[in-house]
Amino acid sequence: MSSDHSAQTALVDSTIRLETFTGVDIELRIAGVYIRGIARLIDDAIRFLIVSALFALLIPTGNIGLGLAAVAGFFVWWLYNVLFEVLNNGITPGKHYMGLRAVNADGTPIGWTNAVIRSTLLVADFLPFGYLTGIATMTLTGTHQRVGDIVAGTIVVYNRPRKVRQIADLHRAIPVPEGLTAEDRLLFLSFQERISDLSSERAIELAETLLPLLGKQGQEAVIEVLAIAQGIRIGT
Amino acid sequence: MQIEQLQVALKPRTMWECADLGTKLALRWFPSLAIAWLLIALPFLFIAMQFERFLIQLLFLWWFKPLYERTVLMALSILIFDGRLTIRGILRGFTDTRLWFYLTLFRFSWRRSENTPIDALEELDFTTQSQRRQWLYASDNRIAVIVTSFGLMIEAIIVLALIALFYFFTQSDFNSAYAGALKILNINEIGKQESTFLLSAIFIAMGVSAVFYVSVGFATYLNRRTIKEGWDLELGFKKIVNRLGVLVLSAALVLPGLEAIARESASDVEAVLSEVLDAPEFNQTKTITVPEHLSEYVHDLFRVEDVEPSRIQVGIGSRVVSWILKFILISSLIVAFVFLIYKFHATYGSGVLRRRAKGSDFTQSIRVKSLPANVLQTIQQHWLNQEIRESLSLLYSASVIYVDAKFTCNIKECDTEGECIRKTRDIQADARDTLLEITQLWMQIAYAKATPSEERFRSALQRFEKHVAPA
Repeated sequence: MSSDHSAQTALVDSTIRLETFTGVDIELRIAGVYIRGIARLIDDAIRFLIVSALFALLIPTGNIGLGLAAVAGFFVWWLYNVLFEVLNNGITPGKHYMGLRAVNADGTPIGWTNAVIRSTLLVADFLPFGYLTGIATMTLTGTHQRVGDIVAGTIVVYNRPRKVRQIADLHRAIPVPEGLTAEDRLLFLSFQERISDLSSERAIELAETLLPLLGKQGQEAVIEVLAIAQGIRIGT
Repeated sequence: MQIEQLQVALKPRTMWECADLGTKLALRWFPSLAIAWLLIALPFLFIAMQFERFLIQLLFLWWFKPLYERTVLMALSILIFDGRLTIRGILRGFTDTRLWFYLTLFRFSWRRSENTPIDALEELDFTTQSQRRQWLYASDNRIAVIVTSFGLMIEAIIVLALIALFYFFTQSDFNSAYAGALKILNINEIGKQESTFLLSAIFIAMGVSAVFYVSVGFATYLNRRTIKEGWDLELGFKKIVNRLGVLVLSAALVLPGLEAIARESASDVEAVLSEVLDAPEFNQTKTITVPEHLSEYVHDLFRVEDVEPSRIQVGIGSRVVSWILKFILISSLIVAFVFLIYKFHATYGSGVLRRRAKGSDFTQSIRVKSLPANVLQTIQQHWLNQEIRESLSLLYSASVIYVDAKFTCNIKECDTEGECIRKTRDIQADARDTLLEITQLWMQIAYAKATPSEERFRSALQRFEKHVAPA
């Protein structure tokens, strides 16, 4: 019925747009508390295993071994994140498994200073229990930053690109109508990629939305939209 | 549902991105959602406190969680479609009989967060509902289990953190704080005061967790419908038509003239461009101040000339200050939350919340005019062309519009099928039953892809003509 959208507030979105110096917008998919929580559990489990192994190896050598194990354990616990994040492009094993990456807030790779700050402030994030401070700040900040991230000026983003489906080259291509923006063209491509998810009735319904523009109905409308998408894809 | 009204950026998301979106939804409307939760949960807390044994108090409070969550879901479903939140709207979720299954048979279901939106908002029969769930969540259903596990973990963390904070702030030394915290966790020997404190801590944890739990479930539901029904494509295509529909028509009328003008002016383009580029607007310089450590990066990456590094040190100090400011902001939000509870109580108590204004005759007239000139003929034509969905969609829309115009039922554009039925409960019996039958036909084709028999369609059409359509 009515589609009046006056006085509309910003839509809730899980991504943020970052404007670069060149004026090109970059879309950053910032990772939230759930996926980061799983990545943290994996990293903590690995750190725990390494430290336990160190203790198991060094304790039998006596008090000196115990002291060495304690010092080494501390450095392993603390440097684990720092080394992986700086030397492995912001990716710890836990983040790698979950497809995440820590970067600076402007999208650039993380450096030594920021990595050290992030790692050191994990303690603050843990307080008072079970990373509650970190969970709270990640939830309250729009960019899902824990205390370490806020202080270091870093964020954690999804590292895996969205899956792009293979399109069978079955559709004929027609020239792309004039006046379509880049965003509009993406919609046509998206329709082509996702048509297998849609029921045939729904695909027709969607294609017929473009009736005033294309003048086609039913299956013909779907074929026309697919042909335009193919035209965009091969650059007619 | 009117997807144009949705306050969410629609796009296909991964299950993790859905969880992030749910977190943002919860954050955007946290005060309203928390108040909706408290509305039902608080009386249950008071009842729970009447029991003697702590474990029974806890079990009682925990068992009815699906009830409290339903209010959050209803509140979110109203807010997300830019609707106005009312007590009546929030409590509407309790009319759904399936809710009682979540308090009995399905109480231990791990998938409650993603299933309840289907139950509460679509109101399908049991068979259709089951098919609908399978169709909607078939390819991606892990997130509900993860969110439930995470919710339980968060509840435990909040409770333990509150206990730790309480004892570490109230006891003079670490040992007595530690002993106090251990004592309260020994629930077999817990005292009256400690049990009240522990139950309150659990209550707070449940409330915080419920808002996020429901929001993530709802975000997942929206995402699955976006993927399966192409909601984002529909909105995008409509925008294209709105923008280009008129342009295409205009272009067809003036194209020959435009071509001639274009030919004539082609030779002048270069001259005009040079003139424009020489204009003062294109020769202004702008000084961008960047932190020293970024200057080289800016120069190399963006080829910006004459980058002058600033002497501003963006170091730990200023970031700590920013963190402190954020801490103050969060504290202010908590105070604001308490204030909102007070305000909500005051507003509701004084009866300021009223029912939404009824649709005017003018709006109803516009709606009626939006239908085709000969509705019956168009419906039949679609049916004969095997365009079953279009036929039933028009039959349903026309029925709702005519019934609303005839009986003034205050049906809104964002109302679901169930809401339309509810709002027409008190109208003339024939019209009500006809609308009910037509709604069932529409929901079967829309959600279960089930085509009704010719006989049933004809019967519904006859009843529509007799009881609903204007003479």
